[in-house]
Amino acid sequence: MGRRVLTPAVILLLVAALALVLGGAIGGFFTERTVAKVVASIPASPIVLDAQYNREKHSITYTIMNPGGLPLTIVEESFVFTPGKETKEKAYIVSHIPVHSVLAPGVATQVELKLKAGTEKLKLGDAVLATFTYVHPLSSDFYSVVHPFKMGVKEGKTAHKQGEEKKAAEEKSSGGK
Amino acid sequence: MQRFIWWVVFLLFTAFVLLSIFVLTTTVAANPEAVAFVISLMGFWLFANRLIFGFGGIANAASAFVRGEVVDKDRIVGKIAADSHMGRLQKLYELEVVALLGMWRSGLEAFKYTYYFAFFIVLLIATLFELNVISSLVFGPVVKAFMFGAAVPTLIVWGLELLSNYYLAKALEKVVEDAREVVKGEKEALSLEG
Repeated sequence: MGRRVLTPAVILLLVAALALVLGGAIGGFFTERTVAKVVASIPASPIVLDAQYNREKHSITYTIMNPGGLPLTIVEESFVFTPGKETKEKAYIVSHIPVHSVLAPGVATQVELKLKAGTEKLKLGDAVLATFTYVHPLSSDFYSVVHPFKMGVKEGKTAHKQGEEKKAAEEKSSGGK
Repeated sequence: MQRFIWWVVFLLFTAFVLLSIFVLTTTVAANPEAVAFVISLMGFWLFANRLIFGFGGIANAASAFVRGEVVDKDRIVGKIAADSHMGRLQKLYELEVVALLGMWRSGLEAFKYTYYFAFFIVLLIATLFELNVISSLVFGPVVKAFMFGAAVPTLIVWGLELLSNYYLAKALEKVVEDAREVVKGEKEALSLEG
């Protein structure tokens, strides 16, 4: 008979090693499930990832990310138009545009903001400060995100400006409306 | 007295089972994965029981035989034949202990493959969910938990199977050595006579 490798000591080590791996996997699995359930019950603030001006439709399309586990619903949009140096259009405000866009959890959704009909197309330097008011299923409060958009300076959107935007959003959302 | 203790143990066991079912039914809505884990652990253990005690018994008896202890043939025959009368009729008592242990292991073969097949099916379905071949947010984690519950007794069965194989081979080796010794002794005796 040949020499056997699987002696009781080796079998014990093998089974012990596999038991450690299995135990780790089971523990990890249940921890992950618990954390996933907790995360799924937290409503997060939406983050505006991108804004694009659509010249044909005269509207701005925002890509809004919902990083949380609960769906958020945008119920209202408002915006402030501030003219740049190149346009003849005057400053105006449109508020309380009722919308109903659901931001599904964990994905980015496109939301369209129609600018005032009959106004001039956006020119370099024009700014649109948009406010999205949203609700989530856990409370009846309203929260908002404010996003500044300046025509032609998409690349120049600096970290400083993004920080400001976030700060403004946080201030608004913590205070509610 | 023995009967009394039996009843006490039986009632405790029944109470435990009922309590477990109660706990499972109350937590099933909040924690379906945990319930799937417990159910598959209990269910697979139920089917693994015969293999666990079978391979464990074979390993124990074979290692006792290797150490030179007297092995109770009655117990092993009881595992192979329906009862001792049937065992006598099948002339099992005339066989070597190692041969009886080999027959016991052969008897477990069908159970072993059925058990491993069941585990393989569960593992396969869990893998399909894990790789998103089939995908469901509800059933995916439940099937995975079910697979983990089944993996625990499977690991024990596999370890004991390896262990029983080792000791059975050892016991066989010992029998062969002993037979060789006997033959050698006889030869020496013959040469002395001649």
